[in-house]
Amino acid sequence: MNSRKRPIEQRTAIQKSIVKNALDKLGTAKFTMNTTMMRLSRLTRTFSTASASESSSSSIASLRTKILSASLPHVPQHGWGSQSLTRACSDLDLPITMHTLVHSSGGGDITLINHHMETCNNDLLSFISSKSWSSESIISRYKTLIKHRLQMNSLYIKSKKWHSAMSTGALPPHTLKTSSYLHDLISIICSSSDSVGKTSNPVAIYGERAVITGVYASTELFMLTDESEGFEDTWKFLDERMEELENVHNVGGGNLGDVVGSVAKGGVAIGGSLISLLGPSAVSLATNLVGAMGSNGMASVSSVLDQFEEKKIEESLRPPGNVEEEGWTEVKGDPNKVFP
Amino acid sequence: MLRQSSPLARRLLSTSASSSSTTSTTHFSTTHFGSKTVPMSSKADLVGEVFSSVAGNYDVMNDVMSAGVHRLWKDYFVSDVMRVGETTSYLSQNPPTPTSPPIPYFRHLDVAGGTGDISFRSLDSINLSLSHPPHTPPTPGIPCPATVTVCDINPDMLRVGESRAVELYSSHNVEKMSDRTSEDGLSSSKPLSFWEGDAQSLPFEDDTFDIYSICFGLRNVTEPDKAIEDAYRILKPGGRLLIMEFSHPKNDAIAAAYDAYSFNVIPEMGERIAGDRDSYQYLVESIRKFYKQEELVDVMKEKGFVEVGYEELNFGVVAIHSGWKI
Repeated sequence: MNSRKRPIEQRTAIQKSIVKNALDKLGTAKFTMNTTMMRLSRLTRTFSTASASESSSSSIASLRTKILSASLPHVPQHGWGSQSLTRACSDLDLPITMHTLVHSSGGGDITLINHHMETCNNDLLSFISSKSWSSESIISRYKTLIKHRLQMNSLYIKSKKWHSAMSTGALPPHTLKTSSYLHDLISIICSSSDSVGKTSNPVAIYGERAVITGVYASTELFMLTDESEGFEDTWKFLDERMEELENVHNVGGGNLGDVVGSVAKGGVAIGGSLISLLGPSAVSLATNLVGAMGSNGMASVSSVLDQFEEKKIEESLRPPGNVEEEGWTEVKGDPNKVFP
Repeated sequence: MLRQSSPLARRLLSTSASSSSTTSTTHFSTTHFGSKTVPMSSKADLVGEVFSSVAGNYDVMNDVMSAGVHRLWKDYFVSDVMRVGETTSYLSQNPPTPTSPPIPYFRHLDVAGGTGDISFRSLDSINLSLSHPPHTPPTPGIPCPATVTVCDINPDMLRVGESRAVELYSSHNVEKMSDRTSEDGLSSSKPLSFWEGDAQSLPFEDDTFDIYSICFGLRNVTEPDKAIEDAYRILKPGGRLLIMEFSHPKNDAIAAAYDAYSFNVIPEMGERIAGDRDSYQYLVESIRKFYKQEELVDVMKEKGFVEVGYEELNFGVVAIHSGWKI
C-alpha cells in the first residue's frame, strides 16, 4: 500500500508548484486596473482558521456537512452555488446567512461538488461491502461498480448540472483535489478485487488503474450527452468497453495490469479513447473535449500537468530495487536478461 | 472651524508631558488613545471629538489616503465575504406575506458605520437581488424581508449618513434617529435604519441579527473586547461577526513602507486637506496600538465565537476577521 502512495505524494508536490507558477503568471497583465488591484489583494490574502477547542470545531464541521448534504437535493434545480446552499439552510431552520459558512472554507461551488464526490466514494464503499462478490468475475465486478458510481451522477446529468461541476473541478486551483477524488474512486473500484490473486508489480497496478480510469472517464463523457431513456446507451457503451477489456484480458491471461503490458507488446488496440484518457487528470481532459473550459491558458496548465505526471510516474517507478525492473522487462517480454 | 472643534484631541495628542503624567498618577484604569495612555473614561470623548471633527471630510480623506482602495476593500467585504446579495436572492423567490413568520428573514447590523459606507453597499445588494428599485417605497403592511441597521456612537457621523441615505433611497426607505417609530429594531417597516449607540452596550435585544459587521471602527472603541462580547449577545445563534480593520503587515519591507507613509504622509494630508492634523495623527497611531491579527483571533475565541479566522488584504494592511456564534 505504501509503495503505491509515495509516488502520488511526490506528484502532488510537483503539481502544486506548477499550478502555483501558472497561476502567478495568469494573475498578471490582461486585467483592467481595478480588477488587477483586487486580484492582487486576493492573491495576497491568507486565510487561517484556527482550530478552537476540539468540541466546537467538530460541531461546526458537522454543521457544514449537514448544510452540504441538505443542499444536494436542490442542485438539479438550482445548481452548485449559493442558491442551493441557502435553501438547505432554510430547510434546516438555520439562518440563511449560514450558507457563507461553506464559502468560508474556501470557494462555493467546488465545496459542494467535492462533498458530492466524497459522498459518492463513501456510498460506493458501503455498496461494495453490502454485496457478496465471490461469484462475479473481475471484469463484471468492475462493470457493476462503474455503473453504480455513474448512476449517482444521473440526477445531475439529467438536469444539465454535471458538466458545470466537471469544468469547475477541472479549473487549475481545484485540479489537485479533483484528481485525488478520482484517484480514490479508482482505488475503491480496483481494490474490490484485492482478494483475487493480485500482483505487486507496480506497472501492472498503474496499468490497471489507467485502464479503469479510462473506461470510467470515457463512459462519464458519453453519459453527459446521452438522452436515452434511463441512460441505456451509456450502459451499452460501458458494456462494449468492458467486453473489449475482457477480450484483451483473456489474451493477457490473468490480471488486468498485465494486459497493459501485452497491449504494448502485441499492439492490441484497446480503443483510442481509453489511452488518451489515461491518468487522474481525465476529468480535466474530458472537460476540454466538452468545450466547457473557458481559456486556453487554463487548458495548457492541465496539459502541462498531464505530461509532467506521466514523466513522474515513469521516474518513480525506476530506482529502488528490482521490482520495477521486473515490470519494465515484462513489457519488453524478456525476463531472463534482468535475472541472470 | 474644524480645527477649533478638536481642542481636546489636540491637547492630548500633543507630546506634552503633563497629560501623560496626569494619567499615570490617577487611580482610574487606563487605555490607549493613539500613542497616549488616557483614562478609560475619557477615550470615548476623545474619539468623539476626532470623528465629529472629520465627519464632513471623512470620505474625501478616505479616498485620498488610500488612493481609492478603501472602496475595493469595502466592495470585497460586502460582496465576497458577507455575500449579502446571494443570501437575499433566496428571499425574492419566497416573498414574505403578512401571515408568514418569521419576518424579517435577514438582518444586518453595521456598527460604527455612521456615514453608511458598508450599509449602503449591503442595501444595494439586497435591492438588486430583490429587484426592488432604490426609491420605491416598501409595501405597506408587509415587514421588509431584509433590513440593514446602522449603529454609531457619534451623532455627527450618523447625520452625514442619514442625509446621504435619504438622497440615495428616499425617505420612504430610511428610518432616521429623529423619527423613530418602533422601539425595537425588529418591527421596522423600512429597510434602512439609523441608531445611536455604544458598541459596548448596543441598544438591541439578544439574538437579533444575522450579521454583525464593524469596519474600521473596532479600534476606536474604548474596550474592544467588550464590543465583541456584546456582538455575541445580539447575534442570533448561527450569526456571523465580521471585523474589517487596519492591521499589521507581516512582511518587513511592506511594513516599513507602510509606516513611512502613515507617519509622514497621512498627517500632512490631514493638515492640508481636512485642516486637522491631530485627528489623522490619532488615526495612524491607533492603528499601531490595535490588536495584531492573532491577538484579535484569541479575543474572539475567548468571547465564545467559533470557526474564527482572518483574511488579509493588501499584504496585511487590512485584515478581515470572521467568527460564528453557534
